[in-house]
Amino acid sequence: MNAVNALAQALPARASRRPFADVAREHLDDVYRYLVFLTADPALAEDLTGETFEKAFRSWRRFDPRRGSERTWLCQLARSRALDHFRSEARRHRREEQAAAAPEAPAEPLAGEISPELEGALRSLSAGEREVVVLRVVLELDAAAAARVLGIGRTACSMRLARALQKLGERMETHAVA
Amino acid sequence: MQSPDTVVPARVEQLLAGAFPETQSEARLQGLARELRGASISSPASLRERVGGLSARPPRRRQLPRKLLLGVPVAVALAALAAFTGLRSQTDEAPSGATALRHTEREVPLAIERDLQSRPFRAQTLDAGSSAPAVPSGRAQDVNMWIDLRVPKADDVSSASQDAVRITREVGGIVVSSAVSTHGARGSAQLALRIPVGRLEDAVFQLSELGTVTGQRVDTQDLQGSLDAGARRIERLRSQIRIAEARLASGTLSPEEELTTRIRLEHLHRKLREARREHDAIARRAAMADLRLQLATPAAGAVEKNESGVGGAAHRAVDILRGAGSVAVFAAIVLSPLLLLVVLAWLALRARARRVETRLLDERRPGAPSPQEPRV
Repeated sequence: MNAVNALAQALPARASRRPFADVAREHLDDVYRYLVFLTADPALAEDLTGETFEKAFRSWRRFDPRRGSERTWLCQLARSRALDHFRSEARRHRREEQAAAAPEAPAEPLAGEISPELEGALRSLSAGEREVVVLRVVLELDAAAAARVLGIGRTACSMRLARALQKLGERMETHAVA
Repeated sequence: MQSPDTVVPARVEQLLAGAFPETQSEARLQGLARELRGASISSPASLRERVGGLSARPPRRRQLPRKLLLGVPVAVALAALAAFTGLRSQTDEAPSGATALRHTEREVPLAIERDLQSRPFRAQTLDAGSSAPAVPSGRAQDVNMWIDLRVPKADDVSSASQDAVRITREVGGIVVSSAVSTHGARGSAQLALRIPVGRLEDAVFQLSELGTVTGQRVDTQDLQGSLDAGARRIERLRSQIRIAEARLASGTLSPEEELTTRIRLEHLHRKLREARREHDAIARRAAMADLRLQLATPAAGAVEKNESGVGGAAHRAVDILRGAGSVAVFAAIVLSPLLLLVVLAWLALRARARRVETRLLDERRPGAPSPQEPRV
């Protein structure tokens, strides 16, 4: 039996790959949820999720299950896509000076069944803090997988999570008082 | 100093894993996590439709693998490097003066011929009758040569040694020493030969026919300067002797002066003899080349080289691989500083990208209220 397992591990990654449609169906909500928390903008998250899955569909042949789960890989792609978007947004804002003075559009609620205090506190966190919260708490990725998505070490990931949760709790209290 | 409400990272991990909260802040943190996990965030129908339609698309045209994209330029660069180094080795000329040339196994007979032909000196002979041996036109050089030959069997070692002795005598050379030993299927022989420089080319050609040349080396040292200096010294001494003899013959010298001149004349004659001896020795060195011939059977377990058939092809393949390996090592040596720079640049770029990424994520996204102005 051990020999069979060893053989199965030695087989090319392609052999254990599932159809992309199944993977997309299973993880679409997770990726969308991750991007909603990361961007704090459900409409933008919807766009980015679509783009992430398009990229994933094109790169599906290169996915290697030995380097992480499908969900981790999809979150990495989503993060990369979101960072590209943030970069282009930052460039656009630098170009357009009036962007700073532009009135902010009313924000769409992040999710149902979340108290206004929690939503307000979440929105007050930085994207970096929100993403560690969504990966570890909402998507329930383990420390190693979350660290892989973030491109940092496990200890740094745990530290970042503790600080983000601490800040989230403090902000909730502030919002509740307000 | 840690705040009493602070929950350490390890404890946060435990709480997320379901540990029972021990403090109010821990309970609050767990409550937060519970509320976040309970948030119902599902993808909109439009997004589901968009992603669901992806799989229905026709598969993309298969792209070239990245490894191939990287490998092809590297292979082309290596091939170009190999061609360049091969071209250089072909166009290299034999240097003059004191030189030490090494050639690869396959090139040896031709290389030796080319090397010898390129030498500016020709045959030199000793003229024992004259005080200063005649030095032919061209430069005099001290030539030392080593030739390693491989013979198939131990029996061939002794027969090849006898042939080498015969060839040496035929060209007018002498065998300074020879040592032949055989043990079972293995054997070796070392012969120290002195060959007249004028027949060296002929001798080397014949000796290289006795087996497969596995290595050779030629060292040359210019002797023309020493020879010319010796000739000038002899001429100077002769002139001084003629002057001294003329003074003695004049009969105008006092007895003391005559005695002094005779002593000086004797001294000059002695100096002249020494100078001639030195000059003759240099001329003799220039006239004969030292050639050390090494004969040996293949090492135990070594594959017999066969120039034709499968063996020959395998041998050529090994040669090609050896050449490619040399090129690879050369390329590694040349490219390693460049590679180091590339790695350092890559690390710097990665660190910068990481900083930019952190800054982007730490910025408050547009539309999100600041902590001081909570959105209610």
